[in-house]
Amino acid sequence: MVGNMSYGLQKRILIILFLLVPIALLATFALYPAAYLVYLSFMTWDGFSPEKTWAGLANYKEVFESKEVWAAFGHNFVYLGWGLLQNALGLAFALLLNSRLKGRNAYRVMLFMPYIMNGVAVAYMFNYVFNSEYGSFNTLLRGMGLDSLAISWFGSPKAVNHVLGFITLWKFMGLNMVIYLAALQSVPSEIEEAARIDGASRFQAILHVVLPNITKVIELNLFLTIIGTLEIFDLPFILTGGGPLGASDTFLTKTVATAFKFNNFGMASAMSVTLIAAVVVVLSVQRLVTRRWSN
Amino acid sequence: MTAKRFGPVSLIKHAILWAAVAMIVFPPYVLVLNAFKSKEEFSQTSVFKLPDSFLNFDNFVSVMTRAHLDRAYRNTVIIIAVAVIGNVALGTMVAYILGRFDFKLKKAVMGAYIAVSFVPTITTQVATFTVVHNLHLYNTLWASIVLHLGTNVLQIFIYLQFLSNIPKELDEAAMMEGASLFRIYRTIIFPLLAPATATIVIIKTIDIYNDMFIPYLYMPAQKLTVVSTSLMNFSSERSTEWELMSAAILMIMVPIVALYLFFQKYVFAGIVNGAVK
Amino acid sequence: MKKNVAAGLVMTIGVGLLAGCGGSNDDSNASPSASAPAETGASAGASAGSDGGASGSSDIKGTITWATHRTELAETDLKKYVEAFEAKYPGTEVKIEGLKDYEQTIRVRMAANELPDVLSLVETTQSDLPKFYEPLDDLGLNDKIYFKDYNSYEGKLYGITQQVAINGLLYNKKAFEKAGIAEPPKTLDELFADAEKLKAAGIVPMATAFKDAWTLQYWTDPAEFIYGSTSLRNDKIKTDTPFTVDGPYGQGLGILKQLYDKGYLEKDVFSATWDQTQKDLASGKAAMMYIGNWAISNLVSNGLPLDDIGFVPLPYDNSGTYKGMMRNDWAYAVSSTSKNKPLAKAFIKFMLEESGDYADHMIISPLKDQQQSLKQITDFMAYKPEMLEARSISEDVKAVENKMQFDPFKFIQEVTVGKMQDVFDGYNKKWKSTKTALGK
Repeated sequence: MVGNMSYGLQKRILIILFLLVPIALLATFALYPAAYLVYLSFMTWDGFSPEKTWAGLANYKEVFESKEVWAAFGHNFVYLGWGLLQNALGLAFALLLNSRLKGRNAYRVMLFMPYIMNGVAVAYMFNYVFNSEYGSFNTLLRGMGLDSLAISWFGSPKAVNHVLGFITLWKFMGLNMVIYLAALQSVPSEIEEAARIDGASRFQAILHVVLPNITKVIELNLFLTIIGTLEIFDLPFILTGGGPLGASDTFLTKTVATAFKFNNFGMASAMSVTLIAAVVVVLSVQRLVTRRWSN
Repeated sequence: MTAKRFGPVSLIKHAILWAAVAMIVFPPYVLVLNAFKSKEEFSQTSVFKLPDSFLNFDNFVSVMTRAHLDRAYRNTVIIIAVAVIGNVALGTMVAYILGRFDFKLKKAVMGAYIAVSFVPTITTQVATFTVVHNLHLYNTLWASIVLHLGTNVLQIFIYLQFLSNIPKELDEAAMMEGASLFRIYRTIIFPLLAPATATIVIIKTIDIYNDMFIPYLYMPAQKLTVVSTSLMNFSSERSTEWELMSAAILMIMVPIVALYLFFQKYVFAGIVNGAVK
Repeated sequence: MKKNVAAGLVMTIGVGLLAGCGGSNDDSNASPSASAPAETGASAGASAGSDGGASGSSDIKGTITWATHRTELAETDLKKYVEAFEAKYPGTEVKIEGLKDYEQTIRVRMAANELPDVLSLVETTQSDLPKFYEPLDDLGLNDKIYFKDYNSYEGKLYGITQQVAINGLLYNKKAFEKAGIAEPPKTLDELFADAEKLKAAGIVPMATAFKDAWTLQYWTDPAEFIYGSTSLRNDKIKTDTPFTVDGPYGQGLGILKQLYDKGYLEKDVFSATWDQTQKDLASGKAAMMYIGNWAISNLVSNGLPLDDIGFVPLPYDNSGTYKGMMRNDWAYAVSSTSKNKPLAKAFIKFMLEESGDYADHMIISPLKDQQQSLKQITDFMAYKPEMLEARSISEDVKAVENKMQFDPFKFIQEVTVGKMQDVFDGYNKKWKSTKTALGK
């Protein structure tokens, strides 16, 4: 019966059928809550009582006037820096492990391992690595005679975000690597080999032949990294609780505290909307840069 | 082009990789040490000290019973099986539509998926919870399944990237033979997306497996405990029983690692090259 | 996951109402179910005291859900209590939900009107209490419990604290011995002198678990001792400059600050966690901590024999007279939407009167007639300290604090490591401008 339908009709039916459930899910569990967030950002609400009152732009005004919120957002950019490094490493390891190398499967498994681990486990383990007195990292530094470098990693306002950024890199590099690897697999090896035959070095072949074939995936990884770092929450929340003295607060830990600790859901919603806007701005910059690069 | 086994380049490569592996292995090593310590031993000795005995399985036994790991695994497996299968079906469908056809709202659909990925879910939980509650999914396994079912930007992108490498001529040849579009999806597109699917199954499974937030908020009933939330049996708001936690973390890590080892063959087997050529 | 320890505890203390509102046991307000027949002999054994008429055993059937913040006990001790309850009332079932980010989770469920039958009460505004919770006056415990005014509104009781905590100076006797200290300090000067001896012996004199921050909250007790009342926080509303160096806050928090300045706290305070602190106190690497009596069981479970644990009032001055602080904890409450209130109430009553929770965990029961005979508690009381009771935070003060995003634990941290005058100036400025903006 299907066979008798014209492809035009089939196409229309298929588009509707195939998109129906996914779009319904998207609308119910993502679009509606997002729209509700925007609505709440214009209200005064403590988060539980039945009454909400109209606040207009007051919540947004409060967000933009709060120095602490923007100071916290500054910390997110430390994560972003580590995130970019994480991408570079992910790509480098993907290229390394896409070549013929003895034991590459074992390496792939190992490098991806941190991503498999439960977030709680990761936080717990690094607590012992970076503890100032008996942590393994400082023990190592002292062993190498670098006592002056053995500082309080979670206690120093300057170091703490870098430590957390490093842990993020440790955990997520493998994911980037796997995505890059999957993309590299889809680049036919003949392309690279052809370039090599034409006299290009391995490095040149990668730069001019392989990478241009996976720009979309590079963009995807950057996209994930930017969202992930600008919206980082779990790690500082679990490991430092924003300390010492707010030095590792991020935009989102502030937002959650505003909502649940200080019962100000209106302002917290306005903060979320502001954060989304900021993410869009950063992503646009990233697109501009990658576009220019790929041309 | 065979790899030179002990050439200087490959030595450097191995050295770099070994360094990376060492950095990765060290923290879990601490976990292994402490999983075998008794409460008192853990409390009185350094975390880096070897346990008195690696045959002390007491922690593992008490984790098993206290966290009801059997029940937790069962729930987790059900959620993952249903959610991942549904997710892959929906993901490939969306990718097929977006990758192969042009239609009016295509940009809007794509845009919607991108837009929601900007929204930090932790800040929308009040609204999402109300939706789940009103749909009577609260405190059922369906809450977790439904929330993980939908596809997302990452999957759509990976699929589209693969799809663009599957020549359109394959579709056209099938159409010449009179195959319906659904048949093309089922017999050509879906199988050829297999390596991408393997990647997505791994990532999705890990995400669901490690997700604490959704099961914790949406299915607090004890009989619905999943593997990740079973860890909460070992810590309170104030403190944590780390020797038990270490054992529990190891126990829940083993199956997922095994699963990854099994699947990674398919991801990296390079099926795509063979199939498309 | 280590989450909102802070928020959680703020709420514990913060839940509440204007002092003086609650407390009157007006019988005319008794709930309709109070007319149910008193419990018959059907319920075997231990039932302490009258049943208050709320719960004829015939009503007590069916299933309820109990959400608790005590996750680590959910599968062990709490389950044991539930089983005992179910054995006493056949045909009942209590489903435990151990929730970690307790406060936040319950908040989200509150917004969707989906509360468990029995829960640990989380903060609402005072007038919202009846919207979410069921009055508990008909349990007949009003005259028998501590902190009955804390979760009350218009004379009705909505929550009963699950334990009473006495704050004191917890110390490891072995560590004192090692440093050549025979007796716990009786004056503030002695406290500092002992700290010096401990430091010289290579022992951390005063543990704080500084990084976790919630453990610092008890250090405002000296400020309240000096002020002479627990209204200190609420009385802030009367002034534009609540924080002054020579006032109660400056003097009270000054004790902690001096300990820090002289190097008597942990070497790296921002690495010091409660998990590690328990181990260190038990092993004698650290000697003292100012904390609630409930921590005694933590030291025991970390391997320190009960006899080696000392617990005395904190000497906050050199007068030789003492004060002690009693604080409430999370409170049992019944959801107003519960479909099985008789069972829910019977369960709370059971937990308070019969479960043996307080004895098992070496804590102090909220029921006045259940005396904790633990030696550490009787030793503490032998100092004849004047006991102060924690007070709920007034609506006005809470409103200003929330608006200015006042985090009391971070405040104590800042005062301790910073320059007190500057920190106070900053907070006073914020306090004044927020208070003015809200018109309080």
